[in-house]
Amino acid sequence: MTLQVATANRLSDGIVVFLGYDGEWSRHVDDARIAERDDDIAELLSEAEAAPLVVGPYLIKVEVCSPEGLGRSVRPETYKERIRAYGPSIHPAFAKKMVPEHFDPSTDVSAVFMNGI
Amino acid sequence: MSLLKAGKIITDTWTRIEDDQEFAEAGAVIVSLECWLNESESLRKRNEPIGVSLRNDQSPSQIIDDLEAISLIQLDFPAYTDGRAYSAARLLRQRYGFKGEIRAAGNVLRDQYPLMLRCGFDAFIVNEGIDLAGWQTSVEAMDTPYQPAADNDTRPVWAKRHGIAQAS
Amino acid sequence: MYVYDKFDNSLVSDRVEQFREQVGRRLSGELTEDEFKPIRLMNGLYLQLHAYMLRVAIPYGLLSSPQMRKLAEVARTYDRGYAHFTTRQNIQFNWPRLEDTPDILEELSSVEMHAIQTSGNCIRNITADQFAGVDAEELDDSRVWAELIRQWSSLHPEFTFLPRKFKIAVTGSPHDRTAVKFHDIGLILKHDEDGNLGFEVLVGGGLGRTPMIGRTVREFLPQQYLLSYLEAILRVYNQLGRRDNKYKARIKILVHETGIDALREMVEEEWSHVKEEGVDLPFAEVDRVRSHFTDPTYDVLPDHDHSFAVKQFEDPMFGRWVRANLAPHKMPGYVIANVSLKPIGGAPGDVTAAQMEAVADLADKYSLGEIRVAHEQNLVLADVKMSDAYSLWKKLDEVQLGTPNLGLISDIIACPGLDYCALANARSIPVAQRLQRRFADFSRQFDIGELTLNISGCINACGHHHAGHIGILGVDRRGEEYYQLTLGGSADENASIGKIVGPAFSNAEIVDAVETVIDTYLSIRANGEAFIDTYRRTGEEPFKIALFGEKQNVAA
Repeated sequence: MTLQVATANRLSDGIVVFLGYDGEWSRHVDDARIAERDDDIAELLSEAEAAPLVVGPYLIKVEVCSPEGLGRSVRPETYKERIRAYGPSIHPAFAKKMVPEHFDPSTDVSAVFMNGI
Repeated sequence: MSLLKAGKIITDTWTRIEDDQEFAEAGAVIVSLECWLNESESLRKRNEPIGVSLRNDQSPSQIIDDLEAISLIQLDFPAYTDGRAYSAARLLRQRYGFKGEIRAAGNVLRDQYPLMLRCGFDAFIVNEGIDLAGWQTSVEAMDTPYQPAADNDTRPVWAKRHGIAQAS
Repeated sequence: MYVYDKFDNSLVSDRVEQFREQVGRRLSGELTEDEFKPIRLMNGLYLQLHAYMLRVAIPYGLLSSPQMRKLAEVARTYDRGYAHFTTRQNIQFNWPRLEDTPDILEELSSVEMHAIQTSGNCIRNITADQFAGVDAEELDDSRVWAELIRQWSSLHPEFTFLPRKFKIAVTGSPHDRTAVKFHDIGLILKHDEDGNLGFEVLVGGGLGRTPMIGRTVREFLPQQYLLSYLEAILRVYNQLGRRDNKYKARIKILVHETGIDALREMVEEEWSHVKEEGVDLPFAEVDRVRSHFTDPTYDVLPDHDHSFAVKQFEDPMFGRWVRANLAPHKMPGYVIANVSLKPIGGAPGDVTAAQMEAVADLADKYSLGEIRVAHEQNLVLADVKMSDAYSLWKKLDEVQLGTPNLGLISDIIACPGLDYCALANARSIPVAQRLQRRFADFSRQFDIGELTLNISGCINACGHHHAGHIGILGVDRRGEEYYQLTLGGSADENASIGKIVGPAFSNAEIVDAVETVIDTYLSIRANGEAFIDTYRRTGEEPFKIALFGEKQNVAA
């Protein structure tokens, strides 16, 4: 039994998006519509593939968890998909979602790089 | 499919004959290289125009001695990303002096059309209903090439810079 | 540097208009993604992990200060305020919108820049020596030839759909800084016995899945035949290079499978015809291009500068920067200044818009308005007066570009890795950052001495890991990031391919593993011996034992 969501990149700007319950594409993985049964998964994929304004839709495996302080979270299974969902691990400033474990605690990138120069 | 030549869609007067097909009594035919190599005598005796189709792993050097008997050579693009036929066309035009039609078949698309023209193709099997004006625009967007190719009327930039009339 | 004439300008602006129209067809739905993808790639536009990525060509790594300012403006207006210099002397923007790319390309065309052929299976940006024109040992200026090849290869009708991408490097110096032996074609300028200028031509070098060192296909090619010879090689490759397997499609595999002697025969046979077919340039055109690369008017200066010497003593960080980052210039009183884009803990090769503007201003003030990009992802100000070096360094340091680490362990080459790249298996940048912090102490870095540490996030090897004295390759092992260590690679004139040592290390272990390698080197090096020399003397044994112990070593 796996939980899956549909993801793609938006055509206009390439930003990572997830197909939501309302049929709209959201930038946030937590908005993603989760499919569990085989036919729901198939339907999710065919709906994603029919969408005109996204590029390269596909399904990813996720789990639903409730980490402390973050509420209900949809967490992609692989680290590659977590990087897609949360943003580059080296740029907390560009994070789509601050998931503490995602960033190296010693990565103080803001100090050396994004300090306004 | 349609046949594009000299910027216009025209009627194709050639018939492609597969290897297991019989020839009709009259009419211009395009045959495979294998068919040509095996049956060139009977094909010559028909006294009709002969075209030979080369797959892109077949070198045009195999027919250089026969070019006087051949009026058309068809080169194949199984995918537009497979660029072997560009080299074959240039060799036929520039090295072997082939004056007949060089026809592009397969995955022939608008954005590769100008490159094909420059390499010596002069006929194109294209999807029906293409936007002819758009195809022409694509050619005009590349009318100042840096390098000489098989289109002798297009001088490379360096020839224009130094007032040199001919590319070669 | 080279300045466009009306023909160059019209070619680039035609291309912008063509791409604007193509983007319009894509956004309207007339073109499918499958049809559009090769078109956008031909214009340097990738779709990466988080967004589109636009790779802009910096021909042979040479930029004027207005071009650098334009890149900064693009970063600020259309991106997120920064950009990334690549291992091929190009620059990448990580967050452009598809809709904006025609405008970006139009902006770039206003300063004679473009993104043509920065992707796709065509002839890519030509690599040249970042010290070209200012290196005392140089035989000839590689930029002249790189520019001629750039023009010849731009929109080449026959070679736009090759079996695979194709990279050409030119070097004019006996000390190779271009990784010439790791290019599909490497051109080494040389003189024949009679003093005529020409090239030794190498073919079949490359990194990636199957790293290979280029083989000599021709010992001496007279300069006037350069383009016909290239055309002959490319034609043989276009016809015979493998197209059944993308990982076996580079010319190195053709060289390997055919044999260099058989390939040479084919190339020479082809060339015997091509050289009669009008491909080669008239001397007037070579002279025209060469006239763009003549020496500037240098001041007549003494060999030494008193304040330069004193400042090194007074300010030890400056002293370090002089030792690591400055290189000798062919003119007395001048130096070549390398600007490190590897601050401790930064992303290798990344620069902010403000830093780009600062470099442009400093280039105007101190280095004749030109900037070069090195494939090590650093910048070069090539014409700095010794007497200006201290002021230059102070100003660089103010914008965190004064790191004194060129050629040292923290001068890490790293691809963007999985933080950006859709192909990557593991992250590169965080590993580079952790290594830089581990070795942050500059006394320790100088003690370790000359060392290249290269990191790639996948087997495609954009981070040149096989060519690093120490190489790190990110791999995915059952959903976890692991890192394979290689030792003994080198990208210079004594090119060698690094050897894998032992099993891969976890993300948590890799920094310790590198430190173990370094400590081992420090304990066994002979006096004054650089890491690579120690490795070549001892082989991998002592390093393997230190990393894995005697037992595992025997078992492996």
